[in-house]
Amino acid sequence: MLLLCAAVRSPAMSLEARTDPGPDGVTLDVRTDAPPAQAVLRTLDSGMRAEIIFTIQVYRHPEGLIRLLGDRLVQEIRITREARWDAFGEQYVVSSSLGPEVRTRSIDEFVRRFFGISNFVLPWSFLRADGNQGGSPSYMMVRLQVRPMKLVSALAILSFLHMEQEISSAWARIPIPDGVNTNGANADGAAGN
Amino acid sequence: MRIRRTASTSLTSLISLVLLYMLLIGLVLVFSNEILMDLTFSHSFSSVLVIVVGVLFPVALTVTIVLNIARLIRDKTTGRPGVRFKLRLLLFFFFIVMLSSVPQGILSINFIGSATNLWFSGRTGTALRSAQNIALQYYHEKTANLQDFAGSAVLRTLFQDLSRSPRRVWDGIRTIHPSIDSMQVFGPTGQDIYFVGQPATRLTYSQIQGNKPGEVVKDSTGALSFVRVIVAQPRQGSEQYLVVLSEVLPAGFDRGATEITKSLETFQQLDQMQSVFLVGVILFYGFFSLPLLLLSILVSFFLSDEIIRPIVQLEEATRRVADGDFSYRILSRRGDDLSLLVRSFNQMVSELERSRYKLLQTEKVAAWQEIAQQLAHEIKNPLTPIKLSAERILRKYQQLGSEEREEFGRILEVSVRAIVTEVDGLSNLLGEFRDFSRMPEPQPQPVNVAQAVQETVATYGSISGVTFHHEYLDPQLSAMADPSQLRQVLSNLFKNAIDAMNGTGEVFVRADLVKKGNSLYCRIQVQDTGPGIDPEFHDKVFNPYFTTKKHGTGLGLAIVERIVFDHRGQIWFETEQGLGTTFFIDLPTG
Repeated sequence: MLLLCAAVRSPAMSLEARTDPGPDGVTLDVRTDAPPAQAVLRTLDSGMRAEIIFTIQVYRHPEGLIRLLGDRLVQEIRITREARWDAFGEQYVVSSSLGPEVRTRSIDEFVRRFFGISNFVLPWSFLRADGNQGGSPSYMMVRLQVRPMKLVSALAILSFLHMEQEISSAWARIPIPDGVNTNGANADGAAGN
Repeated sequence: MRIRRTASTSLTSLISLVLLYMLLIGLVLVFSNEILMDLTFSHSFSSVLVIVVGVLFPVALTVTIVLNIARLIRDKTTGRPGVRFKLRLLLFFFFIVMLSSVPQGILSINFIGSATNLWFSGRTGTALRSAQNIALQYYHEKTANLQDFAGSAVLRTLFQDLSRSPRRVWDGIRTIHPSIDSMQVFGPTGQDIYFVGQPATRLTYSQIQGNKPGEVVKDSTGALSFVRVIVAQPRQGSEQYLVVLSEVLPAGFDRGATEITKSLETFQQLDQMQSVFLVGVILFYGFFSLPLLLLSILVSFFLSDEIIRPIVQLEEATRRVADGDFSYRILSRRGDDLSLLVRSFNQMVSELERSRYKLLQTEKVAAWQEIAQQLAHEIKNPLTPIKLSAERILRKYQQLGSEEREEFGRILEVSVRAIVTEVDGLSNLLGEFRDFSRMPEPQPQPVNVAQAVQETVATYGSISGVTFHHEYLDPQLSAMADPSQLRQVLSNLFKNAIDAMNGTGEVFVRADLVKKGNSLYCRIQVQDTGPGIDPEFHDKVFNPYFTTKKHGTGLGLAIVERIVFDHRGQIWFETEQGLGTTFFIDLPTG
């Protein structure tokens, strides 16, 4: 098992990412050691929603003269999660653009589930979407953006006036480990939670 | 010199700007859902679009307007005509635009502000919170009752008959707790043993596996919501039945609760962002209205330019004409509102130019006629006595004896003959002067040009070394001219060409029908292969008595010009050093 870690400090959040190559792809774990949990919990307690977006970008070092233009963005995926407090069920609800809805009454579990990615599998076909199976090394950039109070549709247009409440981490650079299965995986998409 | 219009360029730019704005607004409308949903996190095309429409486009328009204002200030400083008028127009346009947009903006923003205050007043918030509390209280009461019943001794007593007669258990439950809607019994291995009651609440064993006995869980199937509790009923040893008791919530409870929660969320957000909301509304209004306002100012610049441009052009043209530049013309687009005025002005200047030319020509000719007459008179008078005296001397000399004559004769005869010859030459010269000054009025009639050319060329046919090319003349082409004067014109031009070529070369003659304005003209061209005319003589070619030839009178081309002018025609030439000269004559068609 190859374990790779990358940590980036940002004024608001530290981001820690871990990759683990497997036959189907690279399993990604991302967490932050200083999540703005209190701000999010306050929002949920007052009956509003919070939002978090994980952006994962895959880059490749081009070969030849074209490398002077810089690294090439091969793939990008955004995972959006929304959290709310279910006053009837008395539990936290985390819904995601990828994966099923999670309900929990534990604050710790909610914080872990909402602010982190665990066992998120990026298939080899996704990471090598440009067809460069054995080319120059590539890497991922991961960023996390938190909006403690997600504005409702009617007010979402005003989000740019409310940007001071948005918290972003810096981009974390994570090398993509050499694959166990370099022929590419059969999986068609990312999976995990 | 001619003024080129620049208005069309401005119009094109303006139309491009308007079309671009319409395209951008169209795209904003297409992507309006995405824009309204999220603006800051999306980093997508819609964000770029909003930045372009909301920021870049107004900035570009503002820069253009600032440049126009700078130009206006510069024009005002330099005292360019029409600036005050333009300024007044601009202020008027601006005032009109502001008059319509500012009150509308203020009213709209006030209306939205008042409406949101009304819709999201504290009373509404209290009502929403109360509604949520009532729903929660009802729900908690339900769950608490169910939980209490699940742990009650009565239920445990009833469950003693569970293995023998579940139906009796159910009847007992319904008697004690009629609001319970269903009962489901799972065996020790999870098999569904018994179910009674509301069918929609029936579950599979996997659905209850995560729940602890005694814990009330809310669940839903389709539109039906219900709360349920699991009661563990010991059987034998460690085996136990799991009994699920479900109580259906009122229809629409779940949906109503969700709506109340969402409304409360919206209310709370609006309550928190009330001040920002108003700023947002103003910005939203500005997002659409500011570019329009700037565009309308730009349009007012363009329109004021359009209105005053002809006035400025007329002013400039009038000044140029007053300074003596009669070649100045104003160009206007076809169909332009002011094209009639421009056309009239141009016609007036053309007439002025023609009249002035005619006047100058008349004055010139009159002056030379007077000189010629005076000169002819002054020279002619002494010529006769000189000639008579010379002839008398010659006669006396011839009457002398042979010896006297021999001595005196050698000198005298030569001298006297020279006097007579020179006097004859002078007399011919004066005859030409007289002809020039007494040139008769032309009697125009349709003249076949090809025939006139042919007849004139025939008189020069004997000159070796010169070839005339006039084969391609249209035999049908005729000009309105005095036949004898036309032949004189052609003769003078041919003679001039032959002299220019020193008797060797080619002369090309052609005639065409041309249209100038609304009139048709017969254009005759006489081209030689001579050395061309020295540029320093270009403006003297048609002057009487100007000649570069040793024995020329300098009247040939002056007479040609005079005849052409008398026929309401035009003459000019093009020449190139070393290649030759072409004389062009335009005469009215016959």
